[in-house]
Formats: sequence, C-alpha cells, structure tokens
Amino acid sequence: MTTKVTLTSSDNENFSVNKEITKRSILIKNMLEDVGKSDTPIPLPNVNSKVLRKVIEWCEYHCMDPLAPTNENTENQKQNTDIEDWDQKFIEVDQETLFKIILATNYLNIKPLLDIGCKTITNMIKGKSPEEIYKTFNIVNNFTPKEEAQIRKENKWAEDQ
Amino acid sequence: MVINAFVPSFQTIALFSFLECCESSPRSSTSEMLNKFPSELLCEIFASPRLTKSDLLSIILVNRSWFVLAIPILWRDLRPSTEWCYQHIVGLLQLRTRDNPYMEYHRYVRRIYFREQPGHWMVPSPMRITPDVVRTVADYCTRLESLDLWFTWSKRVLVDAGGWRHGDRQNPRHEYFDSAAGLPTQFSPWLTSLTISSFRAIGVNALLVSVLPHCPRLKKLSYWSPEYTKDYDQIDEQTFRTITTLCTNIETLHLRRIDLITEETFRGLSNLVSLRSLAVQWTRRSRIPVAVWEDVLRQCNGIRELSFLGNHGLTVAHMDLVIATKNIVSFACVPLEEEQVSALLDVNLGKHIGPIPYGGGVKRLPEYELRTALVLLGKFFTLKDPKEPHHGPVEKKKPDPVPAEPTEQEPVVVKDIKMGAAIEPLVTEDAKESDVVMQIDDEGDEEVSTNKKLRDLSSRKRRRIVPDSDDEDEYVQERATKRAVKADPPASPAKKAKPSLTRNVEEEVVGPKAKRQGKKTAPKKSNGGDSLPASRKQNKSGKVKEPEKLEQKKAVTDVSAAIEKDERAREESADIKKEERAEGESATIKKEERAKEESTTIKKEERAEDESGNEKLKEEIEEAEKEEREEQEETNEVRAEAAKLW
Repeated sequence: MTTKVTLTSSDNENFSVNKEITKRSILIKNMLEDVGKSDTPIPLPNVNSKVLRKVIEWCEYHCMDPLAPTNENTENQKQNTDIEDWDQKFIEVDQETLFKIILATNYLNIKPLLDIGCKTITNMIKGKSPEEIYKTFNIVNNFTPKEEAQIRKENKWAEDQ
Repeated sequence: MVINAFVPSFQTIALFSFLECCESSPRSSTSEMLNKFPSELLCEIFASPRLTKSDLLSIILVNRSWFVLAIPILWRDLRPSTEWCYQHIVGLLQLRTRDNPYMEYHRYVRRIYFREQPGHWMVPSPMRITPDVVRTVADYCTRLESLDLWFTWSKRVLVDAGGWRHGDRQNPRHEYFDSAAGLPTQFSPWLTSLTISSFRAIGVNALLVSVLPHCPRLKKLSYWSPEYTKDYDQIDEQTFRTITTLCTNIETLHLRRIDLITEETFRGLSNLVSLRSLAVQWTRRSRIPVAVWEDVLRQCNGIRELSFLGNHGLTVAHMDLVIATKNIVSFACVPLEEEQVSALLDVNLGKHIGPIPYGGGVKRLPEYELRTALVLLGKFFTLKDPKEPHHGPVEKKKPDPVPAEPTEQEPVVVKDIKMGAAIEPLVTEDAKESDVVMQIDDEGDEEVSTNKKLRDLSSRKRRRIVPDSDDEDEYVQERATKRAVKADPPASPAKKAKPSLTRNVEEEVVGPKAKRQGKKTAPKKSNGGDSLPASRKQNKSGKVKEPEKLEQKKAVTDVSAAIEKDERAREESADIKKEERAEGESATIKKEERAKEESTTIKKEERAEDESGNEKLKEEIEEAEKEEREEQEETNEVRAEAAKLW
C-alpha cells in the first residue's frame, strides 16, 4: 500500500501526494526523514497552490526517472540545451508563473525541473539585443548613457564571437 | 527619474553608488520577480553553453546587476579570432586599476587561447604574440588557469650580434624571446594547463623555464612543434629538469619535440607520480636504456596513455616492458623498427601495425611511418587478465625459474583464442608444454594463446635466432627431439636443452619467421612426403585433424624411446673404454718415453741436415743475384745505346 503525504501551500490548500513522488524534492525528502512516520502536513510557505499543483504534475510524470543523477549526467544535461516535448509543453506558461515555478523548484530543490526553467529563460534571452531583453522581461535599464557607451565600447570585441 | 536627472561622469561613479542604482530602479511585477532570483540562479542561466559572447554582451548591457553577474562570464574565456579583437583585449587587460572595480577585466580571466594567424613567412602575423603580451598575461591575469599559445609566425629577435662564426661568415644568434626584452618574472599560481604550439623558433625553453617555477598546480603541459629546425625549438635538458622537479602534479605531459637528454635527467620523470598521459617525440636518436624506463614506469604507475614518437630508439626490450606494464591502456609507437615489427607479429599484434587514426581519417605521415606505426588501444589491453585492475604497480617479472621436472598432468586445452576474447582456461605456469594441445579455429588463424605469447615476450630477455625457411625441416626435427627428451628425461644432456615453461608451442613447431610467412608460402615438401614430422602434420588450411592428435603423441613417445636407446648404448661403450684405458695406462707411459727418446735423436739428425742444406741455399741465392745484376747491366747498356741513336 502506497503511503501518502500531505503538502500545504502558502494559501493553505492541502495536496495529498504519493510519498515516493514527493521524494523528487530534496527538501521534502529531508523533512520526511527528519519527521519520520507522521501524518502532519508539510507546510510550504513559499509556494502557492497554483505553482504547487504544477510542480506535483511534473513530479508525477517523471516519477520513473532516476532519483540521483550522477555528476556526468548532470553535466550532460547542462550541455544539452534541448527540452523534451512534454516538458516544453509543461513549461509553456505565462512569464510570472514560469518565474514562480523556477523559484519554487529552487526552494523545493528539484534540480531537473530547475534546469528546465533555466533553459527556458536562456532560450528567451538568446539572440536578443539589450533592448529586446528589456521588453521581454520588462526590465528598466539603469545605466547612464556614458556608462552604457563605455561598456559597449570596451566589450565590442564580443560581438564577433 | 532622480538617477537620470543627475548623471555624473562615469569615472567618478563609485562602487556604492553603482550598487545603489541597482536597487533603486523601478520594477514591474515580472522584473520584481526576476530580482528575487538568487544570483546563483542568474549566473547559472548566463553561464549556459547555449549563450554566445554576443548574447552575453546583450546581457551586460541590460542593467547594472546583470552587468555585475555576467561580466566575469564574458571575460572568463578569451579566444580572439581577429587582429582587432586580440589587440583590444590585450590593451584592456593592461588596465590594472579603474574607478569601477567591476571593469578590471583581467581579474575574471581564467582561460586564454591566443593563436597567431598564419601568414607569409616574410610577413609578420598581425596577431603577434610578443614577449610583451606574455608578460601582460603573466602580470595581470593572476587567476589564469589555462593558457594556450599557438605561434605560426614569430619574428625572431637578435639576441647576440657577435654570434658564432661559421667559416668566414658571421651568424648572429636569434631567438624569439629576448632575455633583454624581459621574460615573465611571475605567473598565475592557479595555472593547471599550459599548451604551446609552434611553427617557428620561439625559444620555448626560455619561456618555460621562466613560467614553470610559478605554476606548482600545473596538471597539463604540452609543447608541439612540427619542425626539425633549430636546437632552441626543442625541449632541452634544463627545461626537462625544471618540469620534473617543479611541476610534480603534472598528469599530462606531451613534449614534441625534445632534444637528447641524459639518463639521469630522464629518470627525473619518476617524480611525476600523478602522470596519466606521456608523449615524447625525440629529434635525435634517444638512448634511454630499459632499466631507466622501468624505474620511471614503476614510479609513475598511473600512466594510462604512452606515446613514443620520432627517434625514440626503443628496442624490443622496451616494448616488452610496456606490454608487461598493467596500467597502460593505450600505447602508440611511431615509427617501428623491423625488429619491433617482427616481435609484435609474433605476439599476434600485427593487425595493430598501420595507419594512425586521426580526426576520423589517417594522420599524414611519411609512408614508412604509416607502415610501421603502432597504435594499441583498450582492445589490445583487454587481453591482460581481466580480473586484475588496470591500475596498480608494475609487477616486476621474476627471472624464469629452472623448470621443474615434468609431472603427469591433465592436458590443458586452449580454445579458439582471438583478440579481445577472454581466455579460459589459462595455461598455468606449472603446466608442461607437451601438455598443451592446440585447437585451431575454422578460419585457420594463429591459434596459440596470445596471453601466453605476451607472457613469453615479457619474460624473454633476448629473441631466439630463427632459422630461414630452408632450414625449417631440420629446425622442426631438432625441436621435436628436444621436446621429446624433455618430456622423458633419461640423462643429464637433455636438461641442457630445456626451454622456458612459458615458451609458446607454435614457435616450437614452425618458428616465428615461418609463422609470419604463414599463408603465403606453403610448407616445404621433401622427396616423398612432408618434411614435418607426422606428429606436426598440418593440412593446407593450417588445421590439425582430431585423429592426428593421438598420432602426434605417439610420434613424440617413439622419438623419445629411440633417443633413450641411443644413450644407453653410448653409456655402455663409454664404460668399456674406461676399462681399456685403465689397463693400457702403464703401457702407454713406457711407449711415450720411448717415443720421446726417438724424437730427440731425430731432431738432432734433422738439425745437422738443415745446416748443410742452409749452406747450399746461400750459394744458390748468390748465384741468382749475380745473374740478375748481369741482366740489369745488359739492359742499361741497350738503353744507353738507344738514347745515343735518338
């Protein structure tokens, strides 16, 4: 019989999840080891219900993946910039949710999902000019014109690379 | 915005105001979210291999916080591809202190790859790596971890105007690195990889001797020059000593090319106990003895890749040593000498002699080197006992013990042994040679256990002299009788002919040379049948038929019985002779005395005769001389007359 674990989101919504699936998160895995056999729900104050639902969905889909990847595997994952089709669809969310998923996975310590989030942002940056990046992420340039000119001039060599 | 209303000059912006600006910029909901990202997370995003330098340039121009995070990543790895980039980067590296410390780019540099552009030999490369550039790197890039310098055109500097005299012409001495111009006096202590490639004389020794003492963490050192030009292009003795004494953490050492060095200096390699890959290419013929190599390989017992190139001067004994060294999993030797080729053919490694795989193709080498290059990779080394780990100290081979008297054992069958195949059961050291029954596979390949051959090769000190194919029959018969004698030793003379226990069986049958000729030349036949004894009869495909095995054994026992009979007869005749000698001893003494007396009288008579004979001879000689003189006088007179007439 599979044991269940209750996770409580920041907006006090409870999620009953298979214990093995929650072990995808190193944070929850460590907490369960510390608590032992206890039915008390695990509070996750940094993750709201919407994001937590998405994260659980991802964990359920990847429940069969190896838990502890070797160093070589992680290096290969870093080198491989492609994202699997299912993950690609999974991560097709609005920017705010994407950032929240990344922050949540960073907090929950789910490395493979964090890599997918980082790769998605990398793909959003790639090939864009600074102006396009401002627009994409709604960032305001806080350089002075002189600063910007000097930085642009000194690092112009990177344009050809 | 307050920030933009007052714009101070960039030089007066202090670090604190720079960071304050980072905090006080307006943010929307997503940018707020982005600002919540831990810096480690942003760094991981910026360091993605998918992003190019051009992408990083865009990132550093987004805002100040992104600039601070991305600028170390942009300057971490420098590979300028154009002259402008190269000059620009070198110029910026020299800016030691700046108002904004984040713009001291030299602090971020970890890897440099400077490659001169190839040009005409008379025209300097626009990307010249001058001593000044090297000094800049040495002085400013204090966290440098990897340096790769590729010289394709180097203008040499006159360092000795007086130079040396060659006949009447004066040849000034040139070097690329002029000591007067200044060599590096410091270098990044974090350097772990140093690669220098040169197509011209660069004075590599001066450069290395000045750099290496500051780099105790160096793990990889590679020097490569394709030219046999001047002496100062090669690693010399002093540089080699510097490497082996000061850079003891080196794991990869590739020195191509190297000049002659003494045995003692070469023995210094023993200090490099972390060595994993060693490649040495000699310009002049090296004469490093096996004993020195053995010391080095024993100390550096982690070496996995070994390459001997150029005039390596290796002998079969060196090859034996390499093959016996367990931790070596990759071995290249270019070129091979005939003796080495034959030795490798003997141990069934002929298929590994040939072109060197290089970048998917074949490396361009002179034809001779192509034919005689050896590359052994893991495939070969799996032949060593797979149960034993690759790493480990070199087991020193004990000298072959005197073979024990053979005992009756079950014959050990060696089945279908091919390259890379596991061998079971292995022929044990205690097993008799005669007990090894060979089975040959269907393809008619050489069937002898390669493992056994390797063991034989490594234990042997000198190669046996192999007879020519004409003498094969005698050779085979001789070996067969010796083996038979060994199998059933009746008397002491048989012991003299005892071979090593590990000697391979096939060599016993046809000899290595005949084996090499193998399929090309059919076995020579004498009148009326095969020259080989019945016990070793082979069919055309090289197979030994199953029923013939029993015949082989019978033949061996027959031969041994015949030899036993002969020896018994010899012993009997020897005994009879001894008795006769004892009886005749007294008689012979008397006879000798008489003979002596007779000989003295004869000698006296001969002397008297000789004296008389000598007088006669003298007279004859005098007469002959007189005749000669008269003839000469006559000829002189004739000549004088002829001269007068003319």
